[in-house]
Amino acid sequence: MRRLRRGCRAGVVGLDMGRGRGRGRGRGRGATVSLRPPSPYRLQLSPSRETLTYAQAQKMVEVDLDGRLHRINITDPLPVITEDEMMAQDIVECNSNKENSEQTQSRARPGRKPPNTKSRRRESKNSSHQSRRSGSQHHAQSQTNSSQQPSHHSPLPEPTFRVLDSLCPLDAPPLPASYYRFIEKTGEEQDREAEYDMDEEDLAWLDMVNQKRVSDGHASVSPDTFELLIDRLERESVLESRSQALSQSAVDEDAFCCVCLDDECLNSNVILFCDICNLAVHQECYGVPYIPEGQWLCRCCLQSPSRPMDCVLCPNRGGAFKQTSDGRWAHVVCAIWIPEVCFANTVFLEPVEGVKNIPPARWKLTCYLCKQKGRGASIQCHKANCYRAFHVTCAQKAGLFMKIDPVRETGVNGTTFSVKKTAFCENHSPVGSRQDGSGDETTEGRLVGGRGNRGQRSYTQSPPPPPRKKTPKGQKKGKKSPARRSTVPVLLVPQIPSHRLNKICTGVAVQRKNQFMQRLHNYWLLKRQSRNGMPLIRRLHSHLQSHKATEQREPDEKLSAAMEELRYWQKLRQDLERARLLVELIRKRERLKREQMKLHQAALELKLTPALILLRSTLDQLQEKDTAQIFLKPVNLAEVPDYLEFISRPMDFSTMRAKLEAHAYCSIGDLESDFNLMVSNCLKYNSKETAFHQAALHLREVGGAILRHAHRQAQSIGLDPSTGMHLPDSPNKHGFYQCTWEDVDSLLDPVNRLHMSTEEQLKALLEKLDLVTSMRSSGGRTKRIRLLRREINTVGYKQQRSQLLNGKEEEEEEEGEDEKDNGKKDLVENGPLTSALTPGTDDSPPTLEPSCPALSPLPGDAPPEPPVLGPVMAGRRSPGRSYKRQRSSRSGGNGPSDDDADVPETPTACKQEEASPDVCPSETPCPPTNASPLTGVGRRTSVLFKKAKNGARLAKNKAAQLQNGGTTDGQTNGLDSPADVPKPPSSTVLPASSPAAPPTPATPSSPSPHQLRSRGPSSDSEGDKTLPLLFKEEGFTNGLGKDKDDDSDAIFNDQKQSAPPPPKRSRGKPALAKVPESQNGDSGRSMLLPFDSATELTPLDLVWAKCRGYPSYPAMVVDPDMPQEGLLHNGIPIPVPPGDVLKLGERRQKETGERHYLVLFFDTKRTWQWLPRDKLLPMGMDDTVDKLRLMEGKKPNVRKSVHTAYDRAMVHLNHVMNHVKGNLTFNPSNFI
Amino acid sequence: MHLLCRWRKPLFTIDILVYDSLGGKCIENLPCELQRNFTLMRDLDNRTEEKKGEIDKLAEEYISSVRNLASEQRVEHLQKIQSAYSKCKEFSDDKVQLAMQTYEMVDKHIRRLDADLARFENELKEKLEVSGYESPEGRGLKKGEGRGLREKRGPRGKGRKSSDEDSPRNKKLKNSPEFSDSLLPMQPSDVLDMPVDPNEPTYCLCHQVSYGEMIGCDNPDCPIEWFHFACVDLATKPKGKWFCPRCTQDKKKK
Repeated sequence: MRRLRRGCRAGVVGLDMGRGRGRGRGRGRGATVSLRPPSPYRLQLSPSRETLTYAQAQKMVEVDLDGRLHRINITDPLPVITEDEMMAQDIVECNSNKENSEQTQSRARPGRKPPNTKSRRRESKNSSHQSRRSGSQHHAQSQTNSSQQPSHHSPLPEPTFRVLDSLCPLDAPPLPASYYRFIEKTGEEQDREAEYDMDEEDLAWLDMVNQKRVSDGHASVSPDTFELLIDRLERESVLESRSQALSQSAVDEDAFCCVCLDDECLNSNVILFCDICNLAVHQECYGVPYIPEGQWLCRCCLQSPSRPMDCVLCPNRGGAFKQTSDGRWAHVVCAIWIPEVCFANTVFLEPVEGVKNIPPARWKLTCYLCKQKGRGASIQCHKANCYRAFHVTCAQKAGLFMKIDPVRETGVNGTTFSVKKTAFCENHSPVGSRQDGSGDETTEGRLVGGRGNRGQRSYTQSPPPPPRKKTPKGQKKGKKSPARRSTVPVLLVPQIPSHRLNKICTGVAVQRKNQFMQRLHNYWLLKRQSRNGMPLIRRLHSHLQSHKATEQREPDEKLSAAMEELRYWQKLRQDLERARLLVELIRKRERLKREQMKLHQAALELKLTPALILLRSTLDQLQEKDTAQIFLKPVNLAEVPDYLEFISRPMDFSTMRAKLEAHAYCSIGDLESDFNLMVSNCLKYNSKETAFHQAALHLREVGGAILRHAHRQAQSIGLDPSTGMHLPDSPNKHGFYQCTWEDVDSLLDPVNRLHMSTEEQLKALLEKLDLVTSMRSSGGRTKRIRLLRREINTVGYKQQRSQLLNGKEEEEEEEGEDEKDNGKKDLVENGPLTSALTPGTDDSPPTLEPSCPALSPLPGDAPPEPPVLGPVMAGRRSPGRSYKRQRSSRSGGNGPSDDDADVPETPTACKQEEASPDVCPSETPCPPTNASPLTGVGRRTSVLFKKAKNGARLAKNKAAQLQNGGTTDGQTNGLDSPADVPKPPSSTVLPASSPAAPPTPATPSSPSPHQLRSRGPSSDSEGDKTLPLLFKEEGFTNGLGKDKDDDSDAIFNDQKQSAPPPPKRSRGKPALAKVPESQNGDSGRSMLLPFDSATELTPLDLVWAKCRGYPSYPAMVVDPDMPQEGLLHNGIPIPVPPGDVLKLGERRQKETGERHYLVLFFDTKRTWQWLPRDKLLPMGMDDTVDKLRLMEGKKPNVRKSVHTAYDRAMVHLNHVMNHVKGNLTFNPSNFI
Repeated sequence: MHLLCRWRKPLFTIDILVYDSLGGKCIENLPCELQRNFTLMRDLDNRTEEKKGEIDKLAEEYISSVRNLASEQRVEHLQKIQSAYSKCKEFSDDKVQLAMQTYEMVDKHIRRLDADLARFENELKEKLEVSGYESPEGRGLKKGEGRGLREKRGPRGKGRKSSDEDSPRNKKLKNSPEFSDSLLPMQPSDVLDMPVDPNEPTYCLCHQVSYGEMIGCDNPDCPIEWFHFACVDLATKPKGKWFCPRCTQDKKKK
């Protein structure tokens, strides 16, 4: 039995195998290489190893051919050369044996991988010409080769075939290795069948037996039966021995090698145990370089397990034996220590040689320990003068000091260990070694003799040679003797009791069973004996060992049962795992199916109601643009009870959505009209300055683009309006998107558009704009976008103008329609437009609608739509205005307006304040509006109030439908008798508005708000503002005077006189030049230009002046022609512009040909500047505008300075007004 | 209009060995439960198919008659379709729920079994130790056994988030050397031979089977659901909610 101590075997084995494998591989490669015919091809002169890098070396295979070392790169293909080729090769070589040597060389070269640059260089240096020559030779050679080879044997093998008479199906081709599996038989399975195989001996025996039996008239026994029976016998014996071996202990933990008496156990030098005698030896000590698989038996158990050995060299028995060369036995230790003796093989430590060389003197020595003489050879104490002799084993037993010096003298002579051995007799042992082994160990290192007791139990004295009777090897005495004692398996071929024999053969049908069994048993015993008691079936034996190890059989069974169970569980676990996988897959599938269902639904929906979906998405987009959600819900009539009076058909997104879902829309057009309605409602109801108004404008612009896009989409998709489904044939999708710069450019040229109406032009331009904006950005794109926008603007103007003209006529007809308003507006604008146009900046949208340009990021877009919006707005505005008016009267107007009102017209004023409701009632429910604004601030409705300021105009418009005729009249009338007509009062309420009143009819909101604003200032300088466009220039000059002169009065007058109103307006809202125009229109002064209204800025007006690079800054318009001595404005001194400033202004005006205003900033230094009209915006007219300006600055410090300047301006204003009116307190802070 | 091909549900049978030695009772009714769930799902499937047919019919009808329908009728018609779809959706949801339930169930059983197995292993080991058997084989066996178990216990499908799992491949790699020598003959075939299922569901951005620690996306509609830690650059379990890169992207878009 082989047992490993401290379980290091696995490692060793693994190592071993690894080594073996490695070697095998190496051999394999060598073999393949050597298989290669030693052809001159491609074998290279190997570059010397030193020149190779490691990586290169790894890729090389070395071949030793004819004593030369060749290296072949493993990546080089190896040509397979047939014998024929070889022959051809040889022949060629013979043919050209003149140059044979050179040829081979040259032949070798081509295939060679350039060995390395160094060698090659050397080569080329030395014999460049030679190599060239050889190269050419090689060339020739290869030619000859190629020409000769074909002649020798055809390159293509010819197919041969024969017809088979009968087709025998071939064996199935071998399956890939993965299909085969080795299944080890379980113990039971193996138990069931006979493992034993007969050998010749058995056959002979069986033959003999059978012959006899046959002669006796019995049936012969078949070999199978024989095998089976032998097998059973073996098993029986195994069981028997197992029960005997029960007492054997498993591993002797403190076992020691009986050669060196050491218990050290290293991985490379483990202690082995003989499977029979339990002898423990080190691998090295017993010469077992490799641990064998399976059983390991010591030599003596292997050779003669039954006989106890006697050592030739000593009288002791037991221990590790080796055979001598002459067939006797000797202890390994003895062989080591006796100088004359050595091991023939120093690795396997056998056989022991040189016994004969031992001098007779040694044999004659008497061991002082065992006192025996002539038995074995003794060694003597190494002490110089001590001659005491002792047997090696006796010395071990006695625990003498025996030291093997690790100093190895490498005089390896094939003899023994080149070790220095020193052994001392009892008397000369170094101090302490006798008593205390361990002490020795520490000092001396490896002491063999230090372990007396160990040695003692290792050996027994053999009885004197003659009486060799007592075989029982009591050799191993130690404490563990019981375990060791049973190591006498030797002859222990267990006798199998007869009843067992019977049992064994029960299953076998053999005649004369008993007799046969007896014989068989005997034969078996003999056979076992002849084999030194070795079991006939190895497996069983080793099995037995392992079982022995596992102690009893029972726990083993228990274990296996448990194992079985475990296996089941594991299988179950696997199944469950598989189930889980499946379920997981199912889960995934279901999820996918759900997704599929959703997709399916979407697809079907798309199929059934594509129009609906398009509409929906469009609506969504539109709604998205309404960030403030102003249009989300219907207007709350509770908040704005008067809403319906102005708006006949309210509309909002939610309503639209509802309609959409109810399939009320058939096409984008329907949606668009509702959208437009919604926007126009808003524009109509809310005054221009309100957030609602602006939001509506913005929405209109953005929404326009979206709707256009939707239109195009619908077109390209091809929707059937009646069904809301796809058309059977998709329309040709030619393209909208295929448009080139040329198209755009041609369209940009007005000449090319002459044939179109303005509307068409607008449309075309818009489309192009959309198109261009959708293109990839480039210089050309942005340029064209700009051009397009400008063009659109101008076209828009044109259109408006034409509308205005129409409107005028209509107005004249006194129709109360919205159109009229437009018309009026148009009229008003007409003038302004022209003027605006003339002044020049296309971009300056203010002309169109003051707010539009300012608001719309895309000025281009905005204008396009205006045509549509124009009318709408007009209509809408009118109501809005009315509100505004009221509102303004109330809130905005508070301070100044009141004063104004009072001053100018008490009646109107009263109306404004208290009866503002009354004022408006006729036109619009003023009171409610007033109320509502407070409550619903921030709502669409709330803003109305602000607008109300503008209201004047709006009011008119509102009235428009009802009172259109009236309004116009009203205007006139109003002027005359404000009290009578609500409008007039309202208008009158605000100084601005009052003028507006008349204008209102004529001009849309734009003027009105301004008027409102102007109110504040108006008080100061209404008179100034009164300057009509025509008089702009004069106005300036005159302005001063006028301003000062008549504030309220002027207003009054204005109002009362149709003529005056215009001036007011102009003054009131320069920006809203339209107003004046409208007035003009009304009054028939078509000449007034709204733009000029800007110019109407009269000296001493406060304005927001916009210098390039700065935000708008509060400033005051100053009359450049003012008297040099300076002047007082309501008692406030106005600074006089320095001469150089004046000169600069003149120059500028000349250069640009535009009229410039001289402004005095309210900064600390009171700087001057000349600015064109469009850079100026009246200040103090509208809180929101002012606030906006205040917020304009991007940097906080800039904003701050603007604020301070604004405060200054307000203070100035205050002073001026106070001077005029006394008690008015103006609080600038409330603006901020 | 079938945009996606439909695939029939394979009626699969799972033969689960039922052994009731340790805690086997719970396993016994697993097959029944599985079967019940699957029949339920199949039932739902059939109903969904019916509904789908119905929808198709409705759609046909609608298409043929839109022209003559008033808008209210149209709405009505479409609503019918809509409701059918919502039914379908319900069914689908139910099915997903069922599948998840089933999964949980199997998972629960597996976990319980694992626990039992572990217990069993320990008992076995103790028994061995008590008997004092110390041979190297014995030790090896115990060791091997323990190892095998441990690996086995790592649930293969994704268990819970960040449960430790070993891919079959890894398992194989890890086990084979030890198992190849010395262990019980049955051992290797047991654990190792669980073949790599080609249909094993794949997860993560890398479309690999589950292994190691996995993290689940907290978006219930995430199409992928589970991710390897390494694939999403995670080393430890993040705190709070975690969304996979795709879901995060989608969210941002929204």
